[in-house]
Amino acid sequence: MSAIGLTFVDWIIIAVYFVFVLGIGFYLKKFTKNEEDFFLAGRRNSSWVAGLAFLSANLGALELLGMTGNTFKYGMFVAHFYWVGAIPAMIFLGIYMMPFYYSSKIKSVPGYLKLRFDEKTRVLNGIAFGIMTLLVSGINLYAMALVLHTFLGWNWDVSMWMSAVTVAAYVTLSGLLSAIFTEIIQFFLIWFGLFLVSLLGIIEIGSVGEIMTRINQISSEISFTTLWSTSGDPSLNGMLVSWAGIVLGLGFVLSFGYWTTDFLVVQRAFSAKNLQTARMTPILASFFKMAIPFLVIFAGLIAIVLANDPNSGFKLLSDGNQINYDSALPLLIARYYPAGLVGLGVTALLAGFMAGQAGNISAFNTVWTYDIYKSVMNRNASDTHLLWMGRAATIVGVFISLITAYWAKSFPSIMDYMQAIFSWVNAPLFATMQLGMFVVWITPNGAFWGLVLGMGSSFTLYLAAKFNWISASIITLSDVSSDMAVNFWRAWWAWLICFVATIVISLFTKKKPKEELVGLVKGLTPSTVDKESKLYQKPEFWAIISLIIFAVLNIYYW
Amino acid sequence: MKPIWYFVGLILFIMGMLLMAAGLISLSSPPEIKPVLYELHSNIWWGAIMMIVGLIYILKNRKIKIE
Repeated sequence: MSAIGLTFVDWIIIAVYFVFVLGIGFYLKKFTKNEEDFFLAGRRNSSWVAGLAFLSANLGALELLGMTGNTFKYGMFVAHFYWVGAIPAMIFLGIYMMPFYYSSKIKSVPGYLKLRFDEKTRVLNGIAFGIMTLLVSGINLYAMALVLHTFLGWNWDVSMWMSAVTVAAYVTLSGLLSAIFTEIIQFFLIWFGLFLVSLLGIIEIGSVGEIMTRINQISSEISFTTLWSTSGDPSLNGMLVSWAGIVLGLGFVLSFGYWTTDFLVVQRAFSAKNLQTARMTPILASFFKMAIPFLVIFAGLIAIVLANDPNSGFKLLSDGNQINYDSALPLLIARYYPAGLVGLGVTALLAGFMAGQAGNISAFNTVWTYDIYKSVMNRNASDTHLLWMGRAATIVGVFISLITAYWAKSFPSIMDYMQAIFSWVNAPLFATMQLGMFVVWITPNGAFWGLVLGMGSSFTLYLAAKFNWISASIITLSDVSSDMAVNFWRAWWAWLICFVATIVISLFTKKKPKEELVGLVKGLTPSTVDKESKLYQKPEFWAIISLIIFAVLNIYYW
Repeated sequence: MKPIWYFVGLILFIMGMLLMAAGLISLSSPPEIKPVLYELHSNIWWGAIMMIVGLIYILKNRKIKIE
C-alpha cells in the first residue's frame, strides 16, 4: 500500500507540470540559435533569473527529502548546511571569485583551469566533473523512482523513463535556457508546494516555541534544538560533531568547494548579462538559501515531535529495524494535505528531481563539449558542430544516467558513495582554485599534481574509513563521531593535502609568465570596484546585508 | 521572447485554480478520510493565493519581450 493517495485533481496537476515544461522546451527552441544560447543561455540573464537558477540547481528533491530526514536524525545542526555551510561561500564567490571567472569569458570551470594553468589540469578536472555529474544524475534518477515507488506506488521503470525522457527533450531543445526556466518554475513550485507542511505543522502543535520545548523534553541529554552551544563537546549534539569539524570541514572546505567551484551551480552565474549581474547572482541566492530551513528543518522538527507523541498516529516508515528517515516529508504531506495540495506537493518533489537532473545534464554537456571533445578530440570544431555535439551529449548523458540509475538499483549501497564523490572532486579543486586565483607563483605542474594527490587522498581516506583500515577517530580527532562528522573531516584533510602539495610542487616547477595571467589572478587584474553605481546597486552592499542576517540567525538559534 | 516570470505566473495561476476548484468540490462532497486540519480548507485559500500571485506575474509581464 502506498503512503500517499492521489485524487483525480492531483493527477491533473502533475500532468499540467509535465505539459508545461515540455511546452517551454519547444517554445525556447526558436530562441536557441547558436552555441552561446545553448550552453550559456545567451549570457542575457538578470541577477534575479541567474540567482534563482543558481539556488535551484542545488535545490533538488533528494536534498529536500534528505535534509528533512537528516533533521529528524540530527536535529537543528542540519541548518548548518544552509547557513555556515553555504552563505560565506556564496558571498565569497560573488565578491572575490566571480570577477576572475566572468571576465575571462570562459564557458566552464575547467576552462578557467586551462587559462590559469594548462590543458592537462583542465582535462583532468573535466573528466572528473563529467563522471561525477553523470553519477549524481543517475543516482538522482534512481532516488526519484524509489521515492515515487515507495510513497505513491508508481511503477519504477515508468517513472524513471518518463522523467528522463522529459528532461532529455527540453534540454536537447534549448539547453541551459530551458534548464534555467524550469529551475525557476521549480523554485516557485517547491515554495508553494511545501510551505504549508511547516505552517500546518506549527498550527497543529501550537507554536515554534512549543515545538522546541517538546523536543527538549524528549531528549534532555543530547540537544536537537541548538546550533552552536553544544558544539564544544561532540557527545552533546545529535550530529556528534565539534565546532571545528563544522567550521573547517563543512563551513570551509565542503561549502566553498561546492559553491565556488562546482560548475553545476557556477554555470548559472556565467549566464548573467554582465559582470555586476554575475557578482550579484550568488549574493541574491544567499537570501533565499537562508530561508530554506523553514521548509526542511521545521518539517523535520515537527516530525520529531509527532513521532514521539503516541496520540498523533505519526510514524516514519521502516524496513525491519532500519528507519527510513527520508519518509518524514512525504508522510507529513500525506498527513496535512487535502485533494489538490497533495498533487502540488508531489509536483514540487518531481520538479525538484527533474530540475536537478536537468542541471546536471546541462553542466555535463558543456564540460563534455568544450573541455573534453573540443579540447582533446576536435580542436577545430565549428560553432554549428559544437551546438550539435551539445545536443548529442545531452541525449547520451541522459542515457548514461539511466544506466547508472539501474546500476544503483542493483547496488543500493551506492548512495553511500555520493558524499565521497563530492569530496573526491570538489574539496581538492577548491584548494587549486584558491591558490590559482590568489597566488601568482602557483605553477601548472603544482596545480595538476596537487589536484591528483588531493583527489587520490580523499578517495583513499574514504576507503580507509569504510573498510576500517583506520579508526574514524583518527580522521575526526574525536572519540565519538557520526558518518556526517567523518565526511566533514575527510573533506578538510583532502583540501589540506591538495593545498600543501600544490604549494610545495610549485616551489620547484616552472612558473607561467605573468603576462599570461592578467585577468586570472588577483594582483594582475584590474579592480572591479564600481564607483558609478549607487550604494544599493553594489554587490558589496547586499553581501553585508546577507552576512548580517546570517549572523543574526546563528545567534538567535545559538 | 516572453520573460520567465510570465510562465511562472501562468503555472501558478493554473495550479491555483485547480487547487481552489478541488477545495470547493470537497466542500460539497467531503472525503471519507480527512487529513489533519482539514477544517482549515487549506486548498481553497492557498489556491486563491496562488491565483493572485500568478495573476500579478502575468499582468506585469504580459507586454514585456526580451531579446
